[in-house]
Amino acid sequence: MTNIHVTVARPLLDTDRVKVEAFLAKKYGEYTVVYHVDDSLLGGIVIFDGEKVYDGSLKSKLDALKTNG
Amino acid sequence: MADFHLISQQLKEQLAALPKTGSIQKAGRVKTVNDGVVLIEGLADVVMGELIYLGKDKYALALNLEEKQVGAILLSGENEVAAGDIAYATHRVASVPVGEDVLGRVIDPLGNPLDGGRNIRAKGYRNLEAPAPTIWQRTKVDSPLETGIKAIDSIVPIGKGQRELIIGDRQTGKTALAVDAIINQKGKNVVCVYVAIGQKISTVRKLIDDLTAHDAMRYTVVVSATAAESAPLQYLAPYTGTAIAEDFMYRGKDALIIYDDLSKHAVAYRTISLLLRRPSGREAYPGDIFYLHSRLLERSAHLSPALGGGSLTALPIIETLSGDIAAYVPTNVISITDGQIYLESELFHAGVRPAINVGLSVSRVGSAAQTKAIKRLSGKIRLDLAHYREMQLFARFGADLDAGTKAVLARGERLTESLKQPRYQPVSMEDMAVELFVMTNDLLRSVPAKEVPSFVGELLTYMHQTQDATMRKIRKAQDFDQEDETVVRQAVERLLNK
Repeated sequence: MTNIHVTVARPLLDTDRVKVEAFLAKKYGEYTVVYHVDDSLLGGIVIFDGEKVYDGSLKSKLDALKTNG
Repeated sequence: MADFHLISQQLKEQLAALPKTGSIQKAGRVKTVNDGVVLIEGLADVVMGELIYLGKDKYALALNLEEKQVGAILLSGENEVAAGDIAYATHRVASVPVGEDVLGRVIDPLGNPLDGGRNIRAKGYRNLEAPAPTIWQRTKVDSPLETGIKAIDSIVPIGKGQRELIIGDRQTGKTALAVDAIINQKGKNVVCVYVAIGQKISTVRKLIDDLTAHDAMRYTVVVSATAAESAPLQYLAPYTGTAIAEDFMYRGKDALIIYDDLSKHAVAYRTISLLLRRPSGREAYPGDIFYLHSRLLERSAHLSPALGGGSLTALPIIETLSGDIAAYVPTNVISITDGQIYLESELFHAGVRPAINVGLSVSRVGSAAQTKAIKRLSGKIRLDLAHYREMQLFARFGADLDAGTKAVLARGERLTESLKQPRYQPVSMEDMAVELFVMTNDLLRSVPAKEVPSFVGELLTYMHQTQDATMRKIRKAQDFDQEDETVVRQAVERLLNK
């Protein structure tokens, strides 16, 4: 059973939440999920499954641009 | 203006590509934080000593690796980490920027500037932990590291690549010896690294000021983890200094490193080990307290010509309590180093400064690390001083002694006066050679002990003023021959008859 933390910049709309849950079910099978809202992300989504952080937040993409660009 | 359009076009392209970018990083979750120790759930693939990133410039060092959790020690941000925070693996162990740009700077154990200057422009990075040179990579220690301190260079000489311990109670002049050694490296092409571990900030400040005043900061780096810094940073400091000095060594240069002091270093490591709940042993130190210092000091060496012939000489400092050199950490470090310089409080307070106990101090490299001149001239000095010490017991009988004993005592007093030396006044090899010749041949029999230093001062001034050719010859040849002897005898005669 994987415990997953999903963080978004603004609360998910129901349509989007369904898509996220479908993705999680496919990838993890059995899981529990906790949603967090953090507007410093600016946008996008961050998923932490206890082993890896999948960082798709707008902030980190812009930060990466700043360092590499 | 054309550039502006180019930039804005590139920006638009990069922004358009954003949806496809993103990162995947190995991470774990902070379970508990207390006393600077973070217990992290996950992070199964982290290696020993790996840096863990906790967001916003906060790092921890992974030191306890278990199957389902990692114990890491916080390097900064002790009050800013909370349970539930994400901890990222960085896939790199602690390392520090190295290269010429560190010279003249004051940095913390992670390479961050502490002197208000810009960041170090690294020529490269070296891991703080690195293997020591192997047997085949080394060669004999055969050239002197001149400290400019008469008592050391003549009686317990230090060679490039040697580890010589400076040990004594508090306030006996340990740091002063180290500072004078640094100052004497001016113009000798030796890079100096001074590591301050657990010291008072004001002391470190004063030391930097002293080095600056004597124009020594140009070739010195100061790595500082003062008493105000966390135990992990104090633990890392000596390894940072060693990595920086090693870089010079492997590039064929000579380096000198001073660890001031390893007693405080041991305490910092004990603190970390206890917080990590590792089993404690004698004096509550962890089982690997010896390895802590042995792996550090073994990285000092004289490299073989095949590797560039560079060297790293170490002067670790240990502070004893009530002169107890048989305590745990002191005996450990004594067994690791190639000799020790004992500084005694009694000598210090009796005015013998540097307060070196010549009888107990030793250099296991010895005369292999001396120039021909000094080697030849200092041969008798240990014996003379040993005789003096034996006779000192009878000194209080004053007039009741026979002439022979009185002569030994007087001679010993003159020698002792001659070996005294003020701070910040390192003595050049040729000056030392002249003085040694005069003292070991007892040319100053008619001069009262207390007046010996000033007489020698006059003699050296006279020699530089009127016999400069001889002085330069001694320095160039690094030897002291019959001709030089005659010149010096004549000079002494002249001054005595004045």
